[in-house]
Amino acid sequence: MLLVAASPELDRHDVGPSHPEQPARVLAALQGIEEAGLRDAVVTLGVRRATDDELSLVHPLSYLEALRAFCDAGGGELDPDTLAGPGSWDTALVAAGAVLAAVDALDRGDGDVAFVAARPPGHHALRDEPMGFCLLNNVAVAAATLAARGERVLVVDWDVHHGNGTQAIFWDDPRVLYVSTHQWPLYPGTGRVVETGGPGALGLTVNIPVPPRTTGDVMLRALDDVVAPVVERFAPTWVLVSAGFDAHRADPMAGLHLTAGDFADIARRVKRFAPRPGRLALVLEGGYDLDALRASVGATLAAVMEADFRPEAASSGGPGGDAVDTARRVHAPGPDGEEPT
Amino acid sequence: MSVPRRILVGVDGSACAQRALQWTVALAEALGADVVAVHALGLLTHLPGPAVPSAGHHDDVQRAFEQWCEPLRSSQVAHRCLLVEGNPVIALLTAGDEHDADLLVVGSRGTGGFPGLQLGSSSLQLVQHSSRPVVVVPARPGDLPADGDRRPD
Repeated sequence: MLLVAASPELDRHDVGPSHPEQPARVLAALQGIEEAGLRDAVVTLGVRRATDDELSLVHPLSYLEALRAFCDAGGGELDPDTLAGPGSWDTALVAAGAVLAAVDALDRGDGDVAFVAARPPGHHALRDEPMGFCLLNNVAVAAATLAARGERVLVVDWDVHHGNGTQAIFWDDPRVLYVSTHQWPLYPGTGRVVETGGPGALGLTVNIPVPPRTTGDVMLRALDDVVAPVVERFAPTWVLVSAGFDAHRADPMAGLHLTAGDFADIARRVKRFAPRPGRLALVLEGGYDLDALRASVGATLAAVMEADFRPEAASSGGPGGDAVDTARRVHAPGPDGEEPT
Repeated sequence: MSVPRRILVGVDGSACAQRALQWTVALAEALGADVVAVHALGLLTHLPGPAVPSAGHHDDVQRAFEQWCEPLRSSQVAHRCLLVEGNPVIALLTAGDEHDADLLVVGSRGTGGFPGLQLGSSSLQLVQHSSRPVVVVPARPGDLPADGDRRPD
């Protein structure tokens, strides 16, 4: 079964009509599930809000208090990209809670795969700073929760932007392997291939920055040649995906050339990284062209559910091969199989 | 304490940032310092909107940035103008380190954020996080709000 956590009826994160990170994104993602013909496979999860105790595994209480007070006071501009309003705090709690609910439901054996369609997104949020449309780092909170239970967590971030927040949070944490494919150069300016983790987790941050117009075949090669060997050595017990869909060729925020078919192929590869059914959760991050988002979510979830829905063919022939080769060299194990230094 | 030899200034095209740039030029001329002007490309910078054409958007930003830096070009001050990706606070802190700036200068646009703790406007966050001296040049009545003038014309 496909577990879906979404509660658009509780979305009160109002960033104004001209901002690209709109409530309609969640509705488009849910529509994608319908169009993929997955309705009969879906189990809808109940809503819950993340607690301070859960969030404080990642975010200091002082940050949580400050953010809550800011929203209660009416909100405003947190940085030139990131807005919050009176309803943003509660919406952020629901988003973070949805990921935790999805993980817990999988842990109980309620489903094979979970998808969380919630906003605001999370992967740019640092421990104590909102950033890049993100207030709370939803995936990081779930990963930290799992790691605290003794799990080894792989986070795959295929959003077109580097997940600087998630990387920073787990930079020196050997319990979490963070893998990101992203356009370079692009916001937020982090995610160089040489960023491979802190001294306590060297080699457990894998960045594969690719140039504009990169196509799906290159992304698959990155997963096969660079990521798969690292994942095999790490042996994750859980896989969380920061599933942004702004690498789609139609997305206005960036310049990669992926299609819905590419996301399906990528998702199929990533599913193989999970040790068994019930250990894969995908969490919506970016994706700002609603048609592309709808098609890509549908194709992605159909792929992980072994269903037949592929509204766009895969792409190929773009640049980026050199970037993959570089990443492969950076992450090649040492002569005794140890992580790269 | 030594006299600043390199000044880094944040530029975003707002009236207040332009005021900060002019203040920086005057200070650099007086001290014989060089200047690094930095503009951070945020997420929204990459989103073509009604104020900018969709094709060649990045080039439009580059051209606008060059216009914003005109006070430097028309001065005798040695300078560089850098477009970088990211959150403006992090971008300015990083550029300050990479270029070993003696002084950071920004305009206070007086918008957003809230006082205290970790959060606040860009200028406040810069003051809180910088290990280098920071000058915040105040806005004047009539300066455009940040939201209205963030994108290039």
